[in-house]
Order: sequence, then C-alpha cells, then structure tokens
Amino acid sequence: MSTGRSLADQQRALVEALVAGGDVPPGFAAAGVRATRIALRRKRAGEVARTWPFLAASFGDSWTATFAAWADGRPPQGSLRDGWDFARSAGDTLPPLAREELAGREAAFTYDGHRAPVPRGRVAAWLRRLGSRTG
Amino acid sequence: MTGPERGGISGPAVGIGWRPEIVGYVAGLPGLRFTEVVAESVHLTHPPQMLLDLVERGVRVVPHGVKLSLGGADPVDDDRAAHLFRCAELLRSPLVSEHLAFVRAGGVEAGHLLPVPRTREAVDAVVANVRRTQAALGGVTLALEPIAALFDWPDPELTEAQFLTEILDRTGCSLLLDVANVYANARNRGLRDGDLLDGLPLERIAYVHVAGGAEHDGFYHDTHTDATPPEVFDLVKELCARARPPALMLERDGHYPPAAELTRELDALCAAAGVSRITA
Amino acid sequence: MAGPGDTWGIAGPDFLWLYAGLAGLAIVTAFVWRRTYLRGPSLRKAKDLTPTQAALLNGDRRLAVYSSLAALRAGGAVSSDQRGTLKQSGGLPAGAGELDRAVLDTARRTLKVKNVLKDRGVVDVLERTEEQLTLAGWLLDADRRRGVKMAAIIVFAAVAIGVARLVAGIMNGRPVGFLVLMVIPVVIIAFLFLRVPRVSSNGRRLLTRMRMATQHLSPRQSPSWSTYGPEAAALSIGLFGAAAFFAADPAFAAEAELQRHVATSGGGFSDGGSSSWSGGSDSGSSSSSCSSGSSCGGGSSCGGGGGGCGG
Repeated sequence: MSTGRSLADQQRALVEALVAGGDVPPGFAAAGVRATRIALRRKRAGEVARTWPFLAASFGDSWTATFAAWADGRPPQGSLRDGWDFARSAGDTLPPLAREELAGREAAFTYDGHRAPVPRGRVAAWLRRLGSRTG
Repeated sequence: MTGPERGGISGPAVGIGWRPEIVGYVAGLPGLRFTEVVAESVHLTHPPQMLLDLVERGVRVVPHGVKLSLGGADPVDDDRAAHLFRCAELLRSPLVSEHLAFVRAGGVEAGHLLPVPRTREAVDAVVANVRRTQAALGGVTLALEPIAALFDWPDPELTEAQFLTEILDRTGCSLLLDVANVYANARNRGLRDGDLLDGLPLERIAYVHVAGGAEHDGFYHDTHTDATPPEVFDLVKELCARARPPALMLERDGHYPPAAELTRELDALCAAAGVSRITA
Repeated sequence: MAGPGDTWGIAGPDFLWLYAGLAGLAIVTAFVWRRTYLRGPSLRKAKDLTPTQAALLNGDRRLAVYSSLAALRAGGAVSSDQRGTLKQSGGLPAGAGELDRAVLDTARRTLKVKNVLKDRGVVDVLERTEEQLTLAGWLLDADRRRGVKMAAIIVFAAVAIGVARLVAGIMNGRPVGFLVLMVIPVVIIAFLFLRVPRVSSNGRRLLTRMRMATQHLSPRQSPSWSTYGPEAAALSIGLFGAAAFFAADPAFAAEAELQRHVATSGGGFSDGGSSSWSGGSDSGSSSSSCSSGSSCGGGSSCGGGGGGCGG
C-alpha cells in the first residue's frame, strides 16, 4: 500500500508518532510502535538522570515514570535541556538538593528554553551565584 | 599485533566496550586487544587520557558512531562525519562503525536508533549517506550495524538479508554483526528456531557485538544493561562455526554489575568463540 | 659615606640594601628550615594508604566516615531513611576495614550519620589511625609543628630589626617611607610562616600519586561502585572527596545529609557550575561530564548509545 509519500515524509511521520504525540502511521503495528515510544522515554529518563543526578535522585523510584509522563509528546532536546525544562516546570516542588543543582546551572548558563544553553563568563556566573544565594 | 591489513581487526580478538564507568575494569583486562568507544562521547579537545593510554598499549580502538543517522532521508551532516574521521585519526583506528538506522527526521530528534524501510528508495538514501561519510573518512573502513527494532515498516520490497547485502555490495562497507540484535528481532517476530544467520553476508564481518536484554511489555528489549542470554552465546558459537569473525565484543552501557559478573560474561564469550580467556 | 645624623651611622639607602639582603636571607633560611620539617617520610619507600588513611590525610574524620559509608553502600550493607538514620541492610562486605566495621555497627544501632562521628567505637578507630599516621610522619606531630613554627622566628627577627630601625629613624626625624614599604611584606611572610598544615608535604604527594594511579575512580568517570567493589568505593571518597559520593550515590548522599564540601577533589576537577559552594573549598562536580551542553546536547548518548532500545 504505497502512499506515494517520500522517504523523508514517512520517516518524519514515524518520528512524530514516537516522540511528538503523533498518530501511529498507517501500516505499522501499533503495539510495536507504542512499546518503542515507552522504551524511548525510559531511555531519555536514564540519560537525564545522568546529567541531572540530584534531580533524578529527588524523585527516587518514581523518577522514570514521572519524567516519562512529562516527556510524553515533547520531542527530545538532549539530556541537558530536557532535564532543565523538566526542573523548571517542577518549580518549587523540588527538594533543596535538586533546586541547588538547577540554580548552579542557571548561574553558569543562559538558557531561554528555546535554544541551546550558552555558558556565561566566569565573573558573570560568580556574580549570579552570589545573587541567587543572597536573594 | 598487526599487519598491514586494512579494514579489519586482526586475529580473533575479544573485547568489551569502553565506558567511563568501568574504565578501570577494561584497562585491567590482561588479554584485551580491542575495544570500542562511542564516537560522540570523545571530546577531541580533551580526549580521555585513559583511552589514549590503551591506544599506546597497542589496543585497537574502534570509534562507534550513534548519531550520524545514515538511514535517514536527510543527507548526513558533514560535521558529524568529520568528527568520526577525527576520532579515527586520534585513536589510530583502521575501522569505524555506525548503524543502519536513522535517528532524526524533519529536524526532530528521535533520541534512538530507528529501523529503515527495506525499499529501493531507502537503499539509495543509505548508499548516498554512506558514500558521503566514506568521503569524509578518507580510506578508514566503515562497518555498518543492523539494529534491533520492535516493529517493521509495512510493505518491504527486500528481505533483511537482501537489503543488507545490497547496501554492503554497493558501498564496500564491512558488517558489524550484532548477534543480540539478530536474536532480539527473531524473538520478537516469534521465530525462535530456524536459521537466524541465513543469508547474512558473514564473510564481510569486521566484528561482532554481543549484549544482554530484558523482556517487558510483551517484547524483548535489547537493553545493553542486562546479562547476555545463553541463546545469544549459542548463536555466537554457531556463527564461529560457519565463519571466522575477526573480533567479538561485549556491549554493556549501564547498570554495571560487579567485576566478577562481567568476567563471567567475557569468559562465556571467549568460550563460545573458541578463544582463550582475556580475563586472565 | 655615612653622613652626620644618619640613624645608627648607616645611610638610609645603604641600610635599605642591607636590609633587603638580610630579610631575603632570613626568608630563604626559614623556607628551607620549614621544608625540612614539613617533608615527612620517604615517598619512594611509601606503600599506598588504606582508604581510611587516605581520607584522614585528604580531609578529616568526617571524610573517613564517609569513605566507610561508601564501602558499606557499595557492598549493600547500609541504607538510609528519609531522615538520615542509618540502617543495616546487609552483612559486612569482604575486605572491610576496621572503620567500616565500626560504622556498620552504628548502623545496626540505627544512628544518624552526624552522630556516627561521636560514637565511641568509631572515634576509637579514628584516633588509632591518626596516631599511626602521625607516628609514621604523614601527619605532622606536635614536635614537628613546633619546629615548623620556629622558622617563623627567623623572619620575625628580621622584622624586629626593621622595626627597630624604623623607630630609631622616626625619633631621628629621618624619612622612613621606603623602609616601611619594605618591612610590610616581611611581616606578612613572617605571619604566613606561622601557619602549619596538618599534613606533611610528602603526605600530600602520596595522595597525588595515588590519585594518578586510580584515575578510573575519579568522579569525572562516574565510576561504577558495583563493578569496582567496596574498597575501591571507599578509596574514591578518600582520595577524591565527599563530592564523589554525591556523584556516585546521590540518593543516599542526600538522605544521609552528607556534607558535600569536605576536602578537595584533588585538583583539576572543574565543573560547569552545577553546584553552588560555601567556604570556597574546591568542590567537585555533582554531575557527569555532559554539562557543557555542546556535543552532548543533541540527545546525549555519551556511553548510552549502541544497539536497540534502552531499558
């Protein structure tokens, strides 16, 4: 059943089904695609846990499930950004160690949520750290 | 250690993947002759000293790419191909490897290796990307690894063996045969018996991967974070009876077990391949 | 050359030169003296330290307890509840040291980590180990510390001469500006020479030597404690500081309320600013190496790539 779509379009449809909340494209076994979706989110959770160890540790055993739920429909941006976006969305509910981890990164990088984080200069980073601790 | 042969790793060598978390274990293996490192994890400006020490020692290191997306419709990124080449230069590798898979489409990252449709259009796309990569590699041999997947594309035009063989024929690449992937695919399709190695171009093997997995949600997942099942070692034995792969490697990416367990697995791999232990 | 009215009969500029030479000589002598007392036992003949000893040299008693906790965690012998109370969850791991045994004992009695340091059994082992280290000369004993401080006296003598000249000069109504400028650094150095480190120089070098031989245990590698075993886990804390605990076992480190900034991580351990710090001590990174966000940005598969679906 050729749909006449190009390889590029077909691949894009599959990726969207897997990470961006798209529908399973026609002809694919839904069970396999769904299982892949889940495995993908689990893998992402593991990678974010490596880059944000305190963030992940603060959720204990429920980290994978919690992160996977948040990541549903959100395409991966890399573990640094994924963890960052997740931590920001969690806001004040984070325990102190995780908040410290986030604060440290906020001080060291400028991140607008849309583009890759940019490291700040050392003096700027130090000043921000000072500010975030007294403020 | 080795002759002027290009393209392979000489002798039936057995190794284990180089991962920072177990570097001490890897470096301590007396019979280690080769290892593989994820190319994207090598920062060329400050490469890991312990890896360079292994190179100095004469251990062959193969850079293994995971993000080139050779199976994608989009042309492979020149920077990524160049990085792979520079890793090979830095680590003095005669061989690099990547996957027959794609990881991104239309600018969206999947974060994972996805299967390529077995159509002629896809073959052309893969061949184009491989050729582009080979141009950047300047003579370093590229080995391609078919992956494990939990689903197939609809309406394939070629069988797996045909798809693989055609690509290797047209590009001159070697094969990185992941026996665990062969097992996983067969198991998930319900084909536990029968000749899983049928039709595969075994003579083109550059090296072999072996890894563990786990069953959940009704599928067998090739996780690389579990112990290698005995069926995979059986497949290795069968493979080595039919062909002489130059090298075999245990792939472990996380949940690292105690050293004794890694040793047990490596010993089992050596036994299945019919070579003496590298752990002593 | 001495003019009339010159203090002590020596001309100002002449005295400055003389004083520079004198002070310089005093400082060099004191420096050499200090070095001799600070050196410690022969590095060449030294055997490697045990994890407890390394922790006591690199940090303090708290770090030594942490290194034992690392061994016990790696061996599955202890766990912690949400409130930082230790619990025994397994037997003593093979190859455990005396301190490990004492700390496991406190877990059996469900102490909080901060009270472990006050436990008699633990303090006993720590004291004995410190004594061993002092006897061997890795830690400076009271006699040596006195000896080191004596070097400062030589420099203070030079200060005294300078001050005497200053006072005499002022009473004589002579200009003393340059002399003041010259005496100030000598005073500073004299006070600096009063400071005596805890650890002998060769002790610090031994730690460095051990770190270089165990790079695989550096937090930068995120070493797998389960692979390397309990003794290696203990050594990683002893040599690389408490920050290594947070890198390897953040859940336990957080629950047990370990202090992160105990001892240095041994240098060369810069982090992308993922941890804040207090007290300016060189704290190690609390995260893996992918904090630069560049090449690891696109889906970070550092060490996690390869084959099929990740579990």
